[in-house]
Amino acid sequence: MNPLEYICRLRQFTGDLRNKRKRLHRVAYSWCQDQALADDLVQETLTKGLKNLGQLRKPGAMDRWLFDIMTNCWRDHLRRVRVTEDIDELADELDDLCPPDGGHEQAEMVAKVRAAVGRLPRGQREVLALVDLEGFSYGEVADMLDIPLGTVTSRICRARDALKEMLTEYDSGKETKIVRIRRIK
Amino acid sequence: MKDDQASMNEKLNALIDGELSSTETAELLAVIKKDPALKKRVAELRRIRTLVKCAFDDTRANKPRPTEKRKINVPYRALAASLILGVGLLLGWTLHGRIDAPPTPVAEGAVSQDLFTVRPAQKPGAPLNEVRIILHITSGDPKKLDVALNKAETLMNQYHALNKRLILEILVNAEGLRLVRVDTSPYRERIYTMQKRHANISFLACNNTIKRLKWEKGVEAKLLPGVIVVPSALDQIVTRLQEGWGYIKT
Repeated sequence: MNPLEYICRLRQFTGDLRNKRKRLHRVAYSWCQDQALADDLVQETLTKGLKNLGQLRKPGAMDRWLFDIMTNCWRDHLRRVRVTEDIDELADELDDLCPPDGGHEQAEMVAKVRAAVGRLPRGQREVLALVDLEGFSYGEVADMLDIPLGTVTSRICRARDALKEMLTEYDSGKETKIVRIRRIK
Repeated sequence: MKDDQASMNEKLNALIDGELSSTETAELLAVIKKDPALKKRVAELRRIRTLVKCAFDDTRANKPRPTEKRKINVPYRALAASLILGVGLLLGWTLHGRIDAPPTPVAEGAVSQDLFTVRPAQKPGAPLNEVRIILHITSGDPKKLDVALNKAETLMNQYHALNKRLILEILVNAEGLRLVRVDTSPYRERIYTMQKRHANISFLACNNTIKRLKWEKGVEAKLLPGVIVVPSALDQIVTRLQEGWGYIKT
């Protein structure tokens, strides 16, 4: 790759870095539900991306390439630590999670959904994040995670079914809140 | 039977994710149209997808975290820092003078700001004398539409009397789209008058409904002047709720 081409690619890489970082972090966080680890995964992904910029075959596919790298970082991390957390315990912790604006129902909703996603099996969580948060096609996700297309389809179905079950409680609460809001006038 | 259910479930998920061909989509939509249970299921799936999106919209990616030991990639960070520094110097040297336009700042919430051109995206720290409400209309029944418009006008008058500023978004989707379509609206004049009289009222239409109308019935929806099209009613509601707006469904 000639220097000019490299510089163009580098500009593409750094041009919208903040947005890339935010998107990567969103998916990383949905996978691991740990701010610090998500930060590390994103950092590692961007570092590897920068280091291997010359290996990017299609400059137009940079986003997809970065998510590929992050998937590998995530897998490497899992291999290293052999996750042993109790999923229910994690979910209980997440139940207490309160986003920055905390104190109102939207914060509660966000915490509930995050907790519900955290309760999903890892495979479902990975697929769900890439499809719902990043809008990758089933085919792209199958390539990225190196699993059959049918597995992507069944995982996304099972993930959403499970979320529906888990969020039923929130739904009933929401109905009550809507009635309360209507009393404002 | 169970296999059939699972297969339909996969198809519905594929539908909302845009994984089906246009022929498959048309066939499935025809089946869904006749089956209220499937319609409900599709709505649930869409809602879950939106909830997931919103829940991870702000994962505090840009906020500093308390000092703690990083678990991985220390050498990579050092490498990245030196690489960025080196490449930055190289870029600065090579490209200085070529870049005419100043860099565009990427604002937090830029997406939502793009969607609403009437006024800037509102943050929870709005003035105390300002109230923001989204009025959601899903019915096309003229009586219900009349009730909804009455409610909107009553709200405007009540808050005006209290010397408070009400910002009201009237959001229509599903059958409610009828209210703002040129060819079907029973209250065209009334809407026009409301828009003239109250600068803080906006009428919003769901683009998903508009697209569905075109797919299913081949109808190109022409909207009344001043009606803003938003990508999805559900997304709009969730966004507004996150921004601290009140929500009223009629």
